[in-house]
Amino acid sequence: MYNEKKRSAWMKMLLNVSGLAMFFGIWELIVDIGLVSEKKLVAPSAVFMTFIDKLTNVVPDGNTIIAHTLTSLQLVLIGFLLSCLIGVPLGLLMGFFKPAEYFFTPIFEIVRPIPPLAWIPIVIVALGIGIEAEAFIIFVAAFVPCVINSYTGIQATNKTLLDVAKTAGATNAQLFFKVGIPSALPMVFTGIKVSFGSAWATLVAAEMIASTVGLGFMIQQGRNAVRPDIVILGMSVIGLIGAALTGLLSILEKKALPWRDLK
Amino acid sequence: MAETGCKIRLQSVSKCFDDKCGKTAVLDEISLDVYENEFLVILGPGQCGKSVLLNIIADMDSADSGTVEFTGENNGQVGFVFQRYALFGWKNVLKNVELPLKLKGVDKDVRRAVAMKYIEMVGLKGFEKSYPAQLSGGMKQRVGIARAYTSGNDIILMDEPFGALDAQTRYQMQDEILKIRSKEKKTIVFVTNNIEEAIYLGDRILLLSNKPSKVMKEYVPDLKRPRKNTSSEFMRLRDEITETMDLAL
Ligand SMILES: Nc1ncnc2c1ncn2[C@@H]1O[C@H](COP(=O)(O)OP(=O)(O)O)[C@@H](O)[C@H]1O
Ligand SMILES: [Mg+2]
Repeated sequence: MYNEKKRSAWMKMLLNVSGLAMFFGIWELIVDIGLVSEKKLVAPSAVFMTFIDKLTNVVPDGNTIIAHTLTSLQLVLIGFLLSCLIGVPLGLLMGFFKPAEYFFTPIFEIVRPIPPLAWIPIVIVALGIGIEAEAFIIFVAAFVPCVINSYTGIQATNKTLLDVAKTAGATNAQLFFKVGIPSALPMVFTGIKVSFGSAWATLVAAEMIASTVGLGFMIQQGRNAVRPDIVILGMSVIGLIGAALTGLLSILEKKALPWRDLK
Repeated sequence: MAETGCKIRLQSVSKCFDDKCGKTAVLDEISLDVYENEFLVILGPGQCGKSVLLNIIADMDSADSGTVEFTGENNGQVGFVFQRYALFGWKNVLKNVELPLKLKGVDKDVRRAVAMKYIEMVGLKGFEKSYPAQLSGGMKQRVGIARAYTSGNDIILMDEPFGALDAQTRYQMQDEILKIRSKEKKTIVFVTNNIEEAIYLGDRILLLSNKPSKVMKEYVPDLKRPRKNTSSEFMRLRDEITETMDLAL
């Protein structure tokens, strides 16, 4: 039993690594044998060299890759955390208390279909050009999944569990905090993960608002300077960090909800 | 005023539900008394309204007409055992069991002690830190029973508590509940659709009809405990109840 588990874990690891190796191998190969011109696609090895170079080199975009990454991370985290801080409680309240649902749903339903990018012009007018405006765009992108998942999660609270607490004399607040919220947590976490994905994926767009530093800005500059290696480096860093942080959120989720994987 | 010895008195309790096919009457003028410390079994066919009736007694639902009256110092507080266990998956056994006291604001040490007493009583000592997902159906319902007792209420309502268990576990749990009852006096209202279970457990059995359900008949099994479902008196009563139920269909 234990050995079987261990074997399937190795198997999983092996397949994970082979998948990656194949992806990068084929990519490297089609550039190396000249299937695609180096002007259009840069081999992973070359991207890696650019990465090493960009650790210290500020040409052509004025900053090192470290500075770009930290700026982008800061921006996304501000927008994302704000959306969780506001979106999760809002969704929970809307899902649990009818008056809150009736009050907020119409506004939310109108705001929801507006694409984050459509906010850019009005946000620039309202907040000016700067990190506030950029963070707001990311906030908008991350906000919707936070609300929807929290709302759906708490609405699905088992009615019998509410009855259990009610017969034990629970107040409305106790029903909300002790039954509703814990029931909703798995969905809330799903929402937070989706939110983070949206926030991170909106980074490049948000940084189009007159940034001078950041991964999105670096990609734009790489494009203007006809440096596909820099464009691909920017994309790769966004991909890798996105995957790493989503992984981190999954670990947090496992730690916060230990009862979920029991059997 | 209910007479002494009467814990709960239902008078002409009726209930309808609105559904797709109009109004469905579920309970039709149900009147019954529950006596102190008795083991009352409410027996009825599936869908006849047993859960609705129990929920009305527990104030989780309300009657359209009629009254539910509690006597003595009990103001309607009951312990409740649910058919589908209704445990909190994110709480371990101990926290599930102590929940009723926690909601009442009882000090941690006190409620721990009470919860541990009942966890021991239902035979789950050593499983305090386990989560419901790690327990079998029978063990989950032991947690449910411990929780109902921990509430400290002297009336325990059980809604088909063993309905989801396999036959073997079901028999074990029936003996378990009788053992618990011999240790701690409570007024128990036990709902089931299983005739043998009703005869095995009940001091008194009220037979409900199909919906809209009424109390059809009362039985007081005059059988020595522990009852044997192979004894002739047991089988005679079983046949009698079966016949009455079939006639009503
Ligand atoms: N909340 C409800 N809304 C509509 N109909 C209900 C509701 N609760 C119960 N009923 C109806 O009442 C009848 C009795 O249900 P119930 O008390 O659960 O039966 P049982 O005797 O099996 O416990 C069923 O036919 C069911 O459809
Ligand atoms: Mg039922």
